[in-house]
Amino acid sequence: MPDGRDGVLVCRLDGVVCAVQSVCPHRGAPLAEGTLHGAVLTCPWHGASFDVRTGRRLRGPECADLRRYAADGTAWVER
Amino acid sequence: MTGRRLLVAETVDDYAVALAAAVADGALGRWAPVLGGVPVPGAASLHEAVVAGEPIAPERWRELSELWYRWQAPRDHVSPMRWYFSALAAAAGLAPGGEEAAELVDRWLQEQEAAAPAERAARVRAILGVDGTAPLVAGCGDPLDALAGIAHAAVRGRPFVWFPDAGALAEALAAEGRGEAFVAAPSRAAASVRAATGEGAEASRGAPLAGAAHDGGGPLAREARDAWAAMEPGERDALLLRLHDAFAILGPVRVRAAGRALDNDSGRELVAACIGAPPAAWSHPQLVWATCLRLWQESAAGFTELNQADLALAELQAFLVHKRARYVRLLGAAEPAAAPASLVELAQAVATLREEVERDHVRCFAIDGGSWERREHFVPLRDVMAGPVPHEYTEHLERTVGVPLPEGPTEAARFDALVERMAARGVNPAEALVATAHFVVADEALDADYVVVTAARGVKLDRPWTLELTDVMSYTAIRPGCDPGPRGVRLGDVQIRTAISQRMRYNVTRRARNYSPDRDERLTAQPFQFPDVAAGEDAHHGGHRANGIRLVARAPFVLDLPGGKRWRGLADVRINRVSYKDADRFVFEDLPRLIRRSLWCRAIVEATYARGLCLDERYGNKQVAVPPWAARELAHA
Repeated sequence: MPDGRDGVLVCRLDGVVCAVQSVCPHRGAPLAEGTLHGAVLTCPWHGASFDVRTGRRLRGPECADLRRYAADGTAWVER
Repeated sequence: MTGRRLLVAETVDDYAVALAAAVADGALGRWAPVLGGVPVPGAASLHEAVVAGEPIAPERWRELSELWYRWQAPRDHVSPMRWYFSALAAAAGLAPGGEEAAELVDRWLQEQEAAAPAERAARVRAILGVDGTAPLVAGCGDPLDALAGIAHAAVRGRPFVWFPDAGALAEALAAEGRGEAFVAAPSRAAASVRAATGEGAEASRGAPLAGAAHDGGGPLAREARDAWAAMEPGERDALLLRLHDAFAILGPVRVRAAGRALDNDSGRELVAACIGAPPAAWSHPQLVWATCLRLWQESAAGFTELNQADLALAELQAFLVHKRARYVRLLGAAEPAAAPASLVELAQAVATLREEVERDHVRCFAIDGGSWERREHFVPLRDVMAGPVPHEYTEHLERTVGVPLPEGPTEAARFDALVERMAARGVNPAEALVATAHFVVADEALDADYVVVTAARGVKLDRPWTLELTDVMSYTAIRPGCDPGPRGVRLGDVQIRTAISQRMRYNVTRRARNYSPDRDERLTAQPFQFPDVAAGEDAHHGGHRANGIRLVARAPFVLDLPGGKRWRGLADVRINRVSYKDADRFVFEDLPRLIRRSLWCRAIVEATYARGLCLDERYGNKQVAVPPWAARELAHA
């Protein structure tokens, strides 16, 4: 990322692209190694789960919501 | 399709969420969920609907997803009737999961449970305000089928009843004697739901909920309140204080009780507020919570098994009934024909049965460190004691402490002789524990990265609550060749070994406070533990994170002292894998092997105490050197 942050995790949800931060805000796990079930992304380390459409944490260890990104030409910008 | 849309759900969770959302949003007239896997031309998928923004708003999705999750705890099972009644409460305008809805749904559930199968449909009709001509939708078996049945019933405004078994269902259908009865099964369920999408279907939103008026929270609530009221005020307050104190030392608690979110602090406050107040004045959450704590004490269940649950009296009853049935199966006995007369008697029956189970089994738990959820499990004692002590262990002892494990009539006698011979050679028995830790860490079957052996050294055992850090031995063995650095652990071996052992010594001193005669000291104790397998241990613990404590199996052991005293909480063996991979999690099948090795350590420690000896004081220090033989092995690796 241009601002030095970690990367972006992009997934397609019934044809709609969702982009969120790629590391878990709880302990920094690589979310790309987690599981996506419907709109619910679950962290592979401690089971925190997030709604990739909103970035909101659904359950699991308390932590911040996921940052969401949108494509702006050739770059991802935080929403 | 007369303006109605079909909603395809891929999973049970999606299905339930979609269903409840449709009911709660008053959109039943437009939405008819269909079981996933049934192709429906032109249907919108659940996720398309969500992305489109209607009718399930993300916030609503989140709430319902949360409820669905909580309702699966603590039995990994969701009551279809709870979901149906909650949908009815939501349709009546009550917030899902709120206190008002929680009390109402709890009451309806209790009434269902108390009614004979043939009477249950009438009770639901009374809630719906419909007469006997409204055909019953009923079923039993897999909750997946129940969800389709609920959808069908809700769309048509018909009563729904889910039965625990086919016998009860047959009894109810026989009592109906006429009209349409829906018996849920995947293919028929889908067909019925499709049929329900035609014109003429009645939505249940806005239907009068005849049973909504407050009447004391249902039969279990009346029973519980009466039981509390029947106690002398002094006796009741003393019991509440004991419950408060027992709850105070528990590990992390996160539950909802009657719609109220509770953790350790708010749980203590809620039960404390009951002290001195007449039960008639208790709120429904207070009644549920105080009763929950009493049932916990009477049943001696693991309280944290309830973590993340949305507690209701009906759910507590189901939890205990489920436990009783499980214990009966473990004992190979016949299912008791009659339920105990009261919740307290049911809890007592559970405690009695568990005692019987524990004669042949070791009680264990699985722990999710991320959510604090726990599940009880029993390891057969015969699995723990299977096979002889391996000769490799005997040889290892000879190589490391200079004495092989002597032959003897029992395992305890063999370790007693080992300690005797070590003492005669001037070798402290602590060296046998250290050697055992290194033997276990080299065990490919357990495949651990760290092994930690901890035990009170043998001083102050007449007053264990006075134990200090230096009165406890702890030793951490790290697998030769183990390098946790690339797995995100920045500390080196010496730091890891020091930090872990220091923490283990601290934990023993805190657990020992359970024995203190001083109430204030007891309130600062740590709870005793059972053998367990745990994942995500670093989710809420900075020290675990720094040291790579992630996937763990623990085997605490009791210590019998000369003179007949027995102490819990003063010793254990733990193993750890520095991994986040699901495949690396310890499983219950690992526990017999670990528990057996903990029993070797127990025999060594007890033989030490029996001779009036103490474990070497240098293992009670902060910095513990690796023995020379172990250092050579590590250098070799």
